Amino acid sequence: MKSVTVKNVKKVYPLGKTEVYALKGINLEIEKGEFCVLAGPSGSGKSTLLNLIGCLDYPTEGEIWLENMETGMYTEADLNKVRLHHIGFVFQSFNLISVLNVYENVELPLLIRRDISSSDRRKRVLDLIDRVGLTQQMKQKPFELSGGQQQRVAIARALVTQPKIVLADEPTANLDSQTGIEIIRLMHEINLQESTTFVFSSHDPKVINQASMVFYLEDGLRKENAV
Amino acid sequence: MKLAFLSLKSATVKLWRSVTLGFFIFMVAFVMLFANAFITAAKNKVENVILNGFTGHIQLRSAGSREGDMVVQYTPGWDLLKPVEPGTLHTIREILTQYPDVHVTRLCRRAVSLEANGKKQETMLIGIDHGMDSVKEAFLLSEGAYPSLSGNNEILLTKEQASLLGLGVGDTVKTVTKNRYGLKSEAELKVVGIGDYIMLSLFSYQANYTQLSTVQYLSGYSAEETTDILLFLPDTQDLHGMVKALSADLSRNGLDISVTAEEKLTSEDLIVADISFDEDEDEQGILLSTTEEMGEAIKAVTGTLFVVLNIFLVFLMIIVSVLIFNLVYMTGIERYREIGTFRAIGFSKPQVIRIFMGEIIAVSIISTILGILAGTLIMTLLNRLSVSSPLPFLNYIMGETLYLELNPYQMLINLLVILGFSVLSSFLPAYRACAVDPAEAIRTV
Repeated sequence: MKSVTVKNVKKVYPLGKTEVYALKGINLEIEKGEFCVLAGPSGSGKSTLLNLIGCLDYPTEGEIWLENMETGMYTEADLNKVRLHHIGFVFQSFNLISVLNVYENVELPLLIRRDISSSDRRKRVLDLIDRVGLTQQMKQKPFELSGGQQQRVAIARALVTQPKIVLADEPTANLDSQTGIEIIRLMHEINLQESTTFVFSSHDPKVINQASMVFYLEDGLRKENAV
Repeated sequence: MKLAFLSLKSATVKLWRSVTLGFFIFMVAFVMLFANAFITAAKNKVENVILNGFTGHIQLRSAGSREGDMVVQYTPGWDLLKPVEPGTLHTIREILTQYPDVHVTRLCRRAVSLEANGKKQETMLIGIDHGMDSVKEAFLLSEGAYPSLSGNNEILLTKEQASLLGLGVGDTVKTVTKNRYGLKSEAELKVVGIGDYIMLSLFSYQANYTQLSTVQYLSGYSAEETTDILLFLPDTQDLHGMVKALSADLSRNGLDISVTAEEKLTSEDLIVADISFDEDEDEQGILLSTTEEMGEAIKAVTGTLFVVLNIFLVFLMIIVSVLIFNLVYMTGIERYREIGTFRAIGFSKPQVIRIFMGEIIAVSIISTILGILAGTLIMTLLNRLSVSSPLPFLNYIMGETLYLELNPYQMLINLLVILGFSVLSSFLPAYRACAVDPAEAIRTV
């Protein structure tokens, strides 16, 4: 079953009086439970494509399907729900809320979910914090954690809603190589256990090698035969 | 509730900003409460002065008296006061026996000229009945004493009059008027006390208390004749019910009743210089007024002060609103990426706006409550300690000691007004902050 289908997607940004073509017609398909990477140099369109898949932005042209839902058909309110229920995000700069501690950061997306009781919420949050190995740091604020620990919190936050797909934009870019590999391994482990689809972007060959499927992008186009 | 928790958390992280905003709101709440208590106390004070010193709750006058608001600055209209005839007075007394709880007293007023040391001062001379101790609540003595109950020809002067006429306690002042027959009438009155009317002195109010018999003598009235009969009710809640019942009783006893609330005199009625006055005109009937209608001119001034104060407070709130607007706007810029993160993980725009506004509202509620508590505490202390008014002129407004009236409704109104301004001033910048493109915002480092 297809988790993500991208059909001839183009994205154009206005820049003053000119236009910048971030994506020039991308096609790809990602199977459910895949652990794949969008690889390519800076400016190749990786983040733009992740944002479009994550319903943070609309394509200028083309279609993006999440399983059997075409995202272009949805209103902004619907897309909020899609992001809340079906998609988890991990960011390059972790993007944790500085005033909240580890537990509260992980709990954050569930605060606006009405379909989960407070006891279930607590159970799920504690379980994920345990899985990312931060039970001891549960009461600490983000600034008290290392970069790797912060990214673990971000992964737990992305997974707490039990999304169908996790999108990670350069999740290791702000980490040293060893920690970066550990983070990718953690993501992969969860991918295997939960069958959650993971799509992440990177230009680091060591990270790219960890993925089971690689999509190379360059100048807004997919390079089928790139290595 | 969960979002409120987030708001509170955010409010504590930038503590200096919350404290700055909170301090301004605290000050506004404090000043609002204090100023409103001060003005309310002053307003009530002036109304009490008018009530106790001049009008009572209900005032009965001769229908022939061409006078509307009796607590106004001196006008020639006072020349046209007519006495309540003895027969009418007797009937009224008979009727009032049905109302044993109602305290009845009499006033006799006359427009006079006070003369001393070659100087003159026109004024309204008010003869007070023996039972009218309430005058003491209207006139604040600086020196001397109040006119004695058993004496006569004693007068209280205001400080301004005493200064103008060059008189002190123990001196005498010549009092000249025209009696009911149009003849010159005069008396030498002994100055027994000098002071000021609470509040009313600020309006250069010219009136002087003396004994009832003195004014009756100067007016050419008998001991039974008087210009005003004042009724003090034990329960002011039923003022209008009492007016109705009394009107009905007076009518049943053959007296024509005019209730000023229904038939008010126009300002033209008070300009009487060219109206011929005939004391012998046979105009029967009673004019019935309530304290609510009397002293309107002065009450309007205190009302205006109240409005001016509130305009000042609104300006203060506008300044705080600009502060709130800027703070939320700056917060939006500083937390651009945080907003993007909220949006990316599924928060809707209204939810993020609620988090932002919740911070401001939380700070506003806490600061307002603290301001109200501080104001209440200080006012209660001032009232308990019976502190003298710090400024001499406050004596004329508040009496010898400060008494600030605490009004729970006013506190609630203050809270709601401040919250209203906070919500209004934080909405637009919060809305603008949340209108960011989440894809753009999360890219921002």
